[in-house]
Amino acid sequence: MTFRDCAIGEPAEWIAGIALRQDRNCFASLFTEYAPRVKGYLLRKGAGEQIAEELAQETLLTVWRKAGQFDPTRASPAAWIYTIARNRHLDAVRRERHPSDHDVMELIPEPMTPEQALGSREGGERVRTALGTLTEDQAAVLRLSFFEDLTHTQIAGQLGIPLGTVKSRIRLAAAHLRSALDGLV
Amino acid sequence: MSARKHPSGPLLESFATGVLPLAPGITVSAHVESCDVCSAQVRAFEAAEGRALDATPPARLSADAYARVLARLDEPDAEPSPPPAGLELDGIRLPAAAMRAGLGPRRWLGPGLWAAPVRAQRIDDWRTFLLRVPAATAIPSHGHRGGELIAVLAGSFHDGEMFEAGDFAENAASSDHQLKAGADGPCACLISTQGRLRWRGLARMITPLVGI
Repeated sequence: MTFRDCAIGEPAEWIAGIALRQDRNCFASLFTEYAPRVKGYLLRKGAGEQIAEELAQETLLTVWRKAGQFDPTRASPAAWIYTIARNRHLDAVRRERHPSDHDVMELIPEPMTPEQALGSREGGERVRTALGTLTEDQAAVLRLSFFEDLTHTQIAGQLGIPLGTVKSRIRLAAAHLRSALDGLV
Repeated sequence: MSARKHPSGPLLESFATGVLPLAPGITVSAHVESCDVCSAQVRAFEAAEGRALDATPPARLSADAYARVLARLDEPDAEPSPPPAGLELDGIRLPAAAMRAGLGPRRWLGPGLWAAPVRAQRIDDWRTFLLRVPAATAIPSHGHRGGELIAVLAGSFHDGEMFEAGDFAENAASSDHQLKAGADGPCACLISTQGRLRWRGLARMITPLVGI
């Protein structure tokens, strides 16, 4: 394909030229056709002048890099370029405001661990007392089950006790806590 | 996987047109990835946006725009390569969109019961996390001020009605409700909520302890 072919070709052919031969003439045609439209589209969607300009450039750069992923049986060139611009836009917002994990974790029910339960003001004393009345053996299986998320079989292996013993200790410990904390739940 | 419960048309449209922020979009995407019906709908919305792009009058670019892009064509792609497909955590196959965003550390709420945040910025107070609940286990009763989106990745849960792997739940701001994992196996969900959840009283504190 020559430069002339590119200039008069179709966007789908330009993308193919980039994918197959890293053809810069094809890229020039595609850039001329779509970079100003992507910018115009983003401006219409409410993006600021500078963001729209940057994203239009980023979008066409991504088109160059990902041309091999374009599948003409699934999308038109314009629809594909649109999805790149959309994803770039979402990513740009993401870079502006990166969350801390803490933010996201606020929605997880407190407490995360029995330690935090012990530290909490509401009912903390009763939990502490209830845990204190467990036998050492019961507390050990509870701890492995909670903190390590070990299966009963793994706990049996780690403590060197029969599986049946692990199960009965957990059952006893749970029953014990339930009765000790009756009314709190 | 053939889902029976799907996102609403308006939700799919806001996802496809980039109106929905990334955090809830990741949960919608988890469903769309595995649902032929919804991915076809999303492609139809994207095709319409493509036609709108073609119909948009060109805007004037900065004078050096083309030169700047040209200068970067030979730069290596700084974008991290996409995570391998089919990545699993605790036997849960992780959706591609969640993996692209990345997961924060898992927090244990009880044996086999954990949550991991998806690293997406909080916009309009949306947050997304991955939740794994052991079989036949209920998570505490809760309410939420804003919407709640749930994509079931594995197992099933019951919330008045049954949701199975591949299904999608879309709840408006609600009063208290409780989710219970099915007895057939652990349930894994990607969940997005708008606004903080309100957990009921002391149940939130004690449940992980006694729910063995």
